[in-house]
Amino acid sequence: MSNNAPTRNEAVRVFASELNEAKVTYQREEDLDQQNTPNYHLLPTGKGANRIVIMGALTTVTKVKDDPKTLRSRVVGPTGESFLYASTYNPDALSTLEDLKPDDGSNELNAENVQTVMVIGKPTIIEGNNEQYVAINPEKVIISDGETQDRWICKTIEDTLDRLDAYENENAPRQEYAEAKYNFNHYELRQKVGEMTNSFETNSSSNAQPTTGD
Amino acid sequence: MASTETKTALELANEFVEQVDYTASELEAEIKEKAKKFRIPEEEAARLIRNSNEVETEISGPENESETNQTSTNFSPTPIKEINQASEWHDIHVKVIYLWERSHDSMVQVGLLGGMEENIKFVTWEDENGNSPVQKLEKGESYLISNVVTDEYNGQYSVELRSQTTIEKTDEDPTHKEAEGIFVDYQSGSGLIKRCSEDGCTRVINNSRCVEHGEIENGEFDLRIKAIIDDGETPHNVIYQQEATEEVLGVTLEEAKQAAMDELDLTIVEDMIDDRLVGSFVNVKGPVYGDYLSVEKHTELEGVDDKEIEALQNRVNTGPESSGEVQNTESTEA
Repeated sequence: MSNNAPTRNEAVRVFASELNEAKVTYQREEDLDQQNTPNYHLLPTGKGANRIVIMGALTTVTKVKDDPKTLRSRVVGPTGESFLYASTYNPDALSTLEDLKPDDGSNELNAENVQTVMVIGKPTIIEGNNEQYVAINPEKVIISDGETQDRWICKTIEDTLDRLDAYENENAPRQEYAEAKYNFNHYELRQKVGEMTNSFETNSSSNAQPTTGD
Repeated sequence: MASTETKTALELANEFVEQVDYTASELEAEIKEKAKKFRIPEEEAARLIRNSNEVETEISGPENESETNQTSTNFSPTPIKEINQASEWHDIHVKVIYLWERSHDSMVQVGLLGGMEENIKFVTWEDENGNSPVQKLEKGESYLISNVVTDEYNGQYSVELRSQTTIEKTDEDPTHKEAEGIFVDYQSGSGLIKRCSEDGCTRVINNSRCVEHGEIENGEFDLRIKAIIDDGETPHNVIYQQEATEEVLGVTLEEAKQAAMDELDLTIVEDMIDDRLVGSFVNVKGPVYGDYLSVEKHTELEGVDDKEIEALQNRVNTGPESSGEVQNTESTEA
């Protein structure tokens, strides 16, 4: 490993409803002398994300290209869907997704074989017919479970609230850039995150009996 | 300890008589009296007196005089490695590494305290009434200790716990760092590895070659994981050495070697890391060496507990609404 290898970027915890709007990309000036200058997706809350981690239910795996072999997969999380494009450039993720693709040749996973997955990867832009979509180049697709997803949801709520707070206090790391580029409803995201938080049940909320102090 | 030369009490007194308010003969008497009372060598008695006089008459107590309310707010620990002056007051965050046998009757406790990078000796003496001025420390526990006095002997620094000292137990081991997040990945050179077998060389060898010693026929197997624990802000480099790796993977080095030989596949441990660790939320604690936190305690975090949810619910149900209302009061100036 060379010494001037770029330092690894953190995996930003972000919900699909925010990530899917992060269509503006940029590169950092200090990275321009690197061979593979990292791309950042500007989140509407004013933070750059080079790597993200999302969780959800893997519902479809579709082969969209043969050379290089490319699989498109759909992951449905608590706020919406994300699309993964895994190719031979992402060998780890590609082999996991190939394993998860139904054997009968169909693309849809059914109630029997649907999986909760964690996806660590890099956001990317996919050109649609006349629109751009944010998708994910997965580095890792990990078969996970509901408990881990609950933790991811909580951590993502926390980090999203931190970013919203920073944005509303006008001290997000890329505040002005996000203000200039996006017409995003931050209040709606805060509402959604609040609803998700309150939908979690705790012992004290599920059997909410007043405690008598004797 | 066989002392090569024993100084008389007067000689000892003369060494520091200028620093104190006593005459040499008063001091000599004091040394003799303390030595007798506490059954300690006169040299030790002289040290005791010198220390207490220096500290109490010359630097007159800790800077923050407020004896009460010694809370964490004004607790500002000095790193142990920065203690290099005698007769200073400091706050320290330390772990009790050893408690030694008391070397004489008036000593309450003596032992070794560990900080982030260095250790320091501590001692507590009885007060005039024969009582301990502070609570006793327990081996293996960590403390936030305010207002200790430094001392120096033969170039070694130590701290003394006095009546002005306050002690608060803490769960935070000062010698450890913590990282909590997702085990997102691990680096090459993880799993079952081979190390160079040359004396004093522990380099990892690739294809039977050590960068220092060339071809190595019989490298020594080892287990380790160089992992990245990502908390969403920072990807932390952590290393699981053999013991920690064996524990988190539930496999011993011998078993891993055997399995790898059976399968003719050295990557068998990497598969275990993929299956058991990658993608899980973990909390790790341990000492830091260079860029790596060396894992001594690994906790897998499954699900969320009620406390975390309630804290989050408090935050969303109190935070934004009130600040939203404040924002609505726009300027009403005409």
